[in-house]
Amino acid sequence: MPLLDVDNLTIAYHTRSGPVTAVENVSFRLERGKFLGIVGESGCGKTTIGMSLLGLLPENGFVREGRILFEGSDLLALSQKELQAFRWKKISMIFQAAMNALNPVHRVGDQIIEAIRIHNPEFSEERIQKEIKELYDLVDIPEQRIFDYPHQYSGGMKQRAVIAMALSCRPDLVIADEPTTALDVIVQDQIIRKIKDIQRQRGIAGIFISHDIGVVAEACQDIMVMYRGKIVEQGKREEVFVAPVHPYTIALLSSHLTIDGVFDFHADKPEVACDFSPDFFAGVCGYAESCSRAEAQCFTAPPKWREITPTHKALCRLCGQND
Amino acid sequence: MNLKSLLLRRSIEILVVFGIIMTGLFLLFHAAPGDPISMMVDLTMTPEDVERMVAQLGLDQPIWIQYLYYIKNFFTGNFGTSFHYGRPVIEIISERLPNTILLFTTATILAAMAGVWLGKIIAWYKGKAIDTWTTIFALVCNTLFLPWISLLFIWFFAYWVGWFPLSGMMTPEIWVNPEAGFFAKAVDVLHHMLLPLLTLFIVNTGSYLLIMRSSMLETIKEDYILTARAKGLSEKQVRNRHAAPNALLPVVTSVGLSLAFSVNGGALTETVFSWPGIGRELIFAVSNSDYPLAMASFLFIALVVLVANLIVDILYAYLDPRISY
Ligand SMILES: Nc1ncnc2c1ncn2[C@@H]1O[C@H](COP(=O)(O)OP(=O)(O)OP(=O)(O)O)[C@@H](O)[C@H]1O
Ligand SMILES: [Mg+2]
Repeated sequence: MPLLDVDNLTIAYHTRSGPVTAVENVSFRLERGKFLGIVGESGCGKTTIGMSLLGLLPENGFVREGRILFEGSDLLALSQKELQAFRWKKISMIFQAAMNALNPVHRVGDQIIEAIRIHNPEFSEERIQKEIKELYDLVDIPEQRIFDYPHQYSGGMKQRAVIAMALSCRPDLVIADEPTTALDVIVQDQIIRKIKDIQRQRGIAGIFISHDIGVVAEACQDIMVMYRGKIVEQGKREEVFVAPVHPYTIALLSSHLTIDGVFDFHADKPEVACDFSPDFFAGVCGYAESCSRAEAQCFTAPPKWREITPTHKALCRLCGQND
Repeated sequence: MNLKSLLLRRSIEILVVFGIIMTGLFLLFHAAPGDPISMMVDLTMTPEDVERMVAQLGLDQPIWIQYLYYIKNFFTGNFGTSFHYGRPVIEIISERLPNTILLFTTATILAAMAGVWLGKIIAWYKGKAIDTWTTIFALVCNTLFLPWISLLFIWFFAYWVGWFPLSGMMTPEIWVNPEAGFFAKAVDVLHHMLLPLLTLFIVNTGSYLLIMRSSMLETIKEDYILTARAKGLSEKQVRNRHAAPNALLPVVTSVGLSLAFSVNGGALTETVFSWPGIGRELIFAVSNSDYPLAMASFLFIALVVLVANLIVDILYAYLDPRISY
């Protein structure tokens, strides 16, 4: 049984102009100890997926369709109480805006201890002290800084503290939503390495959300490329990054020539803006307008899933054909 | 955070501000219409008597000498004699000021606690009927004209139902009775105080509730609230441990401001309820050209407001660890 099995997930937001679909027909599986990377431009629904796994969609967000199975049990069927016990204990999250994820009026250590205490009421005071010291050790923050306030931390330290917090209840799965966006490249690199180390040491699974392909390529075995709320290509890292088939993936990678110089694409640059208009769900390919290979059919008929290998597929009627 | 240096800095600021207020008052009273001497002169006095009195009061000295005397007198607690009461001003002030402080700090503290508590809970039910109705009620309370509601309460609770005394702060019989113990006196004051307290409480609670509610609604949007939920905290824990402490900060500031206000506006309340406080005394002194009393009342009200703000500053620094000095 996979650790996480997301099946045909469709999520929408109520807005003034009616419900708007933000994530459509997303399916993926994640095994224990594995890292899955989700890449795609801003607004394509990455955070929305992450939030839905914790049952933390904004008030106006709702799951329209689909199932989320965690260790075989249906997350969407949990009661509020069960959900509270589940959060952080099973799945924790490193939020996109980690800089603001810490409450300014409480000491950082206390905020981490709070999580440990809630999920492990049986822990003694010594045990908790031991845990927090271990966590700080793990993320390389000196012990004497444990009980500082967030504003006394540097950006990188806050980021690491947030990672420590995410690991504090020894979850099975950590979702890292752009964990390094606000940091400079050097610190970014340290943090990524740290996350990889921790993954190896603790054997946790992870979902790594980023629009930075370099980061995802380094940390994840499985990759999912999203465009406008849909998965357009998914597969193993070697498949998606070395032999991409979807025109959008190719375009995305070509704008990231830095990855070890392995990739050499001559495709067009992707459209960066991603304005959601409900009509992209009308059944035609959402990428057709920006696609250099688009044919007449692409504008009239829905795209089709093409299987390149058993683990590698793409949502494009042209892929896997005529080559 | 270093509390000592905060205290020191704020105290110096207060001294400077108070000095400015003192000087302003001096100049104001100096330029005030109506000659204080004419108030004291009576028909039996000869012009020589009057001259002697002027000299006694130092009014024939140059203005800066008068100013120095004024400062010196303040620090020696010598505010002169009230024209009206014929008693030292300091005596009158030290009788009245505690009454004002008693009524208004009690009202402010109670109203702040109730408003914060209600606002915190109401914000969590945003959009529900309970929120809508409480908010409307708070708005109404907040916009009520204080003297009007005071009179209404007096008419209803004191006159109609007869639960409370009509006015004043104590029942003379109890206070002249040598057998009445401390407890009986305290109960008597409390009995007199309840109605003005209730009036102030209702009006102030409304405004604190509204501030706390909107501050909570802003705080709820913060990322750390999402973190708290994600950690698996219950809604109540998220509200009480993570939202409320942050939402409290703007309320504390506004308590400081409204304390200053309530001592001013308090004059009106005190007058309506015949509460023997310093606000009522100030109005009385000004309308009777009792210059020494008016001047001292102004100074002490200013001092109380400044000290209240100092306390609020310290409280704020205590609540918000980001404040450093
Ligand atoms: N609360 C909301 N109400 C309405 N629409 C929303 C809400 N939150 C997100 N959306 C919309 O849903 C879509 C997906 O948003 P999401 O935050 O998941 O994107 P993302 O992939 O995480 O983007 P980014 O890389 O910028 O973080 C966007 O079009 C966004 O405008
Ligand atoms: Mg996002």
